[in-house]
Amino acid sequence: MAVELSILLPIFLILSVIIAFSIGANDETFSGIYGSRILNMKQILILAVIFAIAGALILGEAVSKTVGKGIISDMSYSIVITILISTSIWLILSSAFGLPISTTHATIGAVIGLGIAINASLDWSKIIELSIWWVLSPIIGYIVTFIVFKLLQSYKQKHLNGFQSYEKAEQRFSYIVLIIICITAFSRSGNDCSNAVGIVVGIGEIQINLLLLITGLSLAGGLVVLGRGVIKSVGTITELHPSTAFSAQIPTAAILFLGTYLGIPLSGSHMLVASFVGLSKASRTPVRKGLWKVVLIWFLTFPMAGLLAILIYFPVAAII
Amino acid sequence: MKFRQDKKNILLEAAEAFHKEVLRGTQLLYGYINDLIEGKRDPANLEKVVIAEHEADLKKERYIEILYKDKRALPFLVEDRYRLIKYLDAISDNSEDLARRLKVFPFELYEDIKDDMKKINDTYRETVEALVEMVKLMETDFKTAYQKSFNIETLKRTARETKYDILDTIYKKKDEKSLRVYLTSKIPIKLFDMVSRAEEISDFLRSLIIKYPSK
Repeated sequence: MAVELSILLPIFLILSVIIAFSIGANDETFSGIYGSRILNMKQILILAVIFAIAGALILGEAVSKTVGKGIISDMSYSIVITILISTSIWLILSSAFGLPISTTHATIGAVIGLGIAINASLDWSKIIELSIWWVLSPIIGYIVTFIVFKLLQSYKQKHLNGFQSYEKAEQRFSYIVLIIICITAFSRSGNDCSNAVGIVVGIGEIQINLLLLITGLSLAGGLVVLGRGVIKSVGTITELHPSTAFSAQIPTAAILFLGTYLGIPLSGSHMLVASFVGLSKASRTPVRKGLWKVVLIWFLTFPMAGLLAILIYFPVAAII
Repeated sequence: MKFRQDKKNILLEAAEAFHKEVLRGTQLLYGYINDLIEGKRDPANLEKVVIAEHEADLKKERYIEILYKDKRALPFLVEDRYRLIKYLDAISDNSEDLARRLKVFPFELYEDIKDDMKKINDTYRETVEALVEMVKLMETDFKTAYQKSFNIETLKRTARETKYDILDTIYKKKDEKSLRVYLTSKIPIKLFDMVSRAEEISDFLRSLIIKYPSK
């Protein structure tokens, strides 16, 4: 067993790094800050790196997840690793094209694909429930942002008068958006790290803080290398400025938080993209060309992650 | 917080200095045209218009520099302010251009157009003053600025009528030297162009008043 562990541990560590990197690469949290030009890309990446590492170190320890729990019975190591590898590959691929996808949906796609391939018993009622939320997430994001924008617009018309008052209001919004997005990035990093750390914890004796630091750095690495493309792509879906970024990102974050609290698997990425589309509709500003690619990748996420999981599972099962 | 307030004041002061210089150029040209109407021409006064335009350029550069250095929360406000600077600068440039034209204008004004020339000159000054006032109001009071734009529109209509009254008188002078007729006609045309430009700027400001609450 000792020999097995000495081989497994470095492999799992590398996997953990890849997973954290892929999650960081597809993190669009700061897109509103970029789109509204509150900060430039360099400043955003510095902040994102700080919060990725801080979130991993401070919050990461408290969480340890079992991926796919509740959908597939009998979760072995080879299954967990397959799911994580296929999800990571799909995340990295879509990030390379600057396209935001839902990590949760990629994971679920892999779980379903794998479940079908190995003939494991799948909880179809759970899958249907997840699919419903998969469709509802962008709709909720769209509607909520539309309403919040209209309310904000009516407030502006009633209370703001002259360049200076608009400027003052926008400055306030920029502070609010910045603070809330930093908190989101911090908590998201802690949560995302648990996905990467989860597979290593329990394998052998390892300094948890060192592990969290490694995954935090990998998360930050993903953000810097590929994440900037995703941030840029999502942040330029429509014309943004601090108050409109507020009306898109803050309700989305609040609903996401509520969803997490109530155990509803909403997709942050889908909600945010749909929020920006809702915003463009409400403010009558055009949507950037090429949005169809984002929608296409959402539809491809389920089957592609499943297919990847099937392809990866057998070699992984043979090794482990 | 105090530092941010100071930065804001610096920007507003730079804007104020630029507007003042644009206005000074207009008032100097206005003064010279009035002198021309009364037959008292002093080329030194035209030189003052040229100097005022150069001063306005320097103030403009300073304003733009502060505008871009200052990290404003509203990028489109920076862009709109920049457009406004460019438009006002065009008025200042046109004043200088007319001043230079008047410097080489070799004739006296016809007696029968002097009243209308005075009228169009008054309208020109009034319009630029109203525009600068509107630009200042844009900072704090959209509603009053919006009302001001209608005033500018009325002034443009007056200027147009006066321009054609002058041209009507001039073009009837068949026996006069064609060069004198042509060059004299250019003065009300140029003055009207500046009034018209000012009205276009007020239209642009009106579009901003509509745009901001919907952003």
